[in-house]
Amino acid sequence: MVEINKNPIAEFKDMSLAFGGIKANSNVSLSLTPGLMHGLIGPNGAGKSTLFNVLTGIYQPTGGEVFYDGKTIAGLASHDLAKNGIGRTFQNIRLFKELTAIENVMTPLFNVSKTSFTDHLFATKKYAAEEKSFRQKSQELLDLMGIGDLAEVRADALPYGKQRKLEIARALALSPKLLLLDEPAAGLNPTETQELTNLIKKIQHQFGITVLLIEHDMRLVMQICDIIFVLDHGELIAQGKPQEVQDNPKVIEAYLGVAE
Amino acid sequence: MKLQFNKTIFLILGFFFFSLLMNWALAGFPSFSEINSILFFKPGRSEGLISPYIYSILILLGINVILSVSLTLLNGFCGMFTMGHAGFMAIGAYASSSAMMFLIPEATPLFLKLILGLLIGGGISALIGFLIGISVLRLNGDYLGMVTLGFGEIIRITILNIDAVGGARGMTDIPQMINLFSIMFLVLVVVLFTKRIRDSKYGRTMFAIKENELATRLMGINPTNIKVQTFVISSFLAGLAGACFAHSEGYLSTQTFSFVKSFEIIAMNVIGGLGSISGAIIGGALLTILPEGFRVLQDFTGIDLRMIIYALTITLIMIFLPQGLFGSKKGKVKEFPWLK
Repeated sequence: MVEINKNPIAEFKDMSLAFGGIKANSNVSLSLTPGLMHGLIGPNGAGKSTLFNVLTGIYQPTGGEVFYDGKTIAGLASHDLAKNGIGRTFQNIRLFKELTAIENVMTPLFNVSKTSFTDHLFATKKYAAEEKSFRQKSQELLDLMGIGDLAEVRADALPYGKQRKLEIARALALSPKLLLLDEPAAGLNPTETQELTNLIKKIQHQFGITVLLIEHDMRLVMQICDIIFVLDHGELIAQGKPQEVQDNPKVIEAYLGVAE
Repeated sequence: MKLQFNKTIFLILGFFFFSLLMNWALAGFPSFSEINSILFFKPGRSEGLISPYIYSILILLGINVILSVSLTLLNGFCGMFTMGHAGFMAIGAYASSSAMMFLIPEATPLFLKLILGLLIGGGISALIGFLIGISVLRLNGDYLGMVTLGFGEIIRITILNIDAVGGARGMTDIPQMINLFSIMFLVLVVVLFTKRIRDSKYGRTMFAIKENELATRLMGINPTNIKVQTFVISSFLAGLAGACFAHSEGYLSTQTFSFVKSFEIIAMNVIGGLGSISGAIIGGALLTILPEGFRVLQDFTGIDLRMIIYALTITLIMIFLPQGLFGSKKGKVKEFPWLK
């Protein structure tokens, strides 16, 4: 059922990344199909977050190539990639703590702003209208994530689970084509995880975006992902539908070790 | 095009007449024979409500508030810890004085001369701020502090070695055109300007950069751009304050602009509460009044207690209000209601 004939939205071709002698990723080749939910799993230190950092332009790969939307991302700065529609969340939450929840979501809207410096200086009607529409759009995103009533609360005063949701709302404000979620369920209890699972499904359905998520919670991954990639020691050892990956002996070996 | 009357323009006009009236109320009425004597009126020996000494302290207070507010943009909003603000003040002071003495023709009307002088002072300061900004703003935290401290001193030493502006002898005979009216008007405009920046999309982005630069970058915003822009605006305002200083004192010496002055401006910010405009205003006012306001005490005690009181007050504030007068540990920094 995997539609390979579609042009991939992002593609890694033999991508390698080494920090001195340490190989974080070696010869990883994988492609992300538009509109599907992709999972990226693997033991700790397998190079999952590094892959995210390469795709968001934080690290430059030392070998191979990475394509986004058909074009190579070599030489593109992180903010250009983000502007072109790669939104992401972070493993260790990186919210703008001193800003309120709604201001956090309004920040990325800077990119679509059409007002000039003087509009802001003189508080013109154009500025007021834009601010109002930004606020409305952000409120809608917060409502979607179920934290609409906490809009005016400072980000660091929110409970942990809501901070995770706020981070997703902030990434969605970029109107991304590709959404990268780095361990969205880390630190959440089973109820919250189930809630988040439903939310991610709903978002993907509603916005029609491609999602790539790193997650250690296998129930979540198996439940919502269409395709799963497995990394171990920086190498891609398996990919396919959840059931295929679960039965793959290499994957079992990576997680549990070899039977004596 | 329909003329848009909005709040900002009304406010600025209001400020203008308010400061004009305040100047007269405090310093006595000028003769209304010509526009220059109305706009540039300065008190004589014993007219008006306050003595010329207090009058001059009020002007210094205004200059310090502008400096403090301009640093708030960098230190408080953007989280850039710069320690060379006195350098930009020096550029503004010397550039504006030189322009007025050597460049602008004598026949220019006085108020036009003053506006041009202030703009040249601020403009050259902003230009040098831009050049320094693009080269050093890749640095963060302490490193940025060190480099800007160095640049501040480089600027001062460079001016010290330019003979045309007096060198070590200092620059004398600078036209004294700043009075309480012009400085009050400028303070109010600068404060309003800073408030508007804080409430704009730029302000939001500045706070985002302060909190997490990487996350800001991954939200599609280039933090370096915003930081350079902020640096330019801040050095413009510092240059403006320097120009005001030059035109109120009438005499410039590079000693005034040493790193001690930079730290004094940082202290104003920290005591007021980082990130709060009200804090910057009160901090600037406090650090001007504290060393000067207790001179009268000497009549009773016989010895000079000013520096002791000054140090003691600052120590007590830092012990009991480590976040500054307007700061807070949780929640937003405090502001005056009209600056909310």
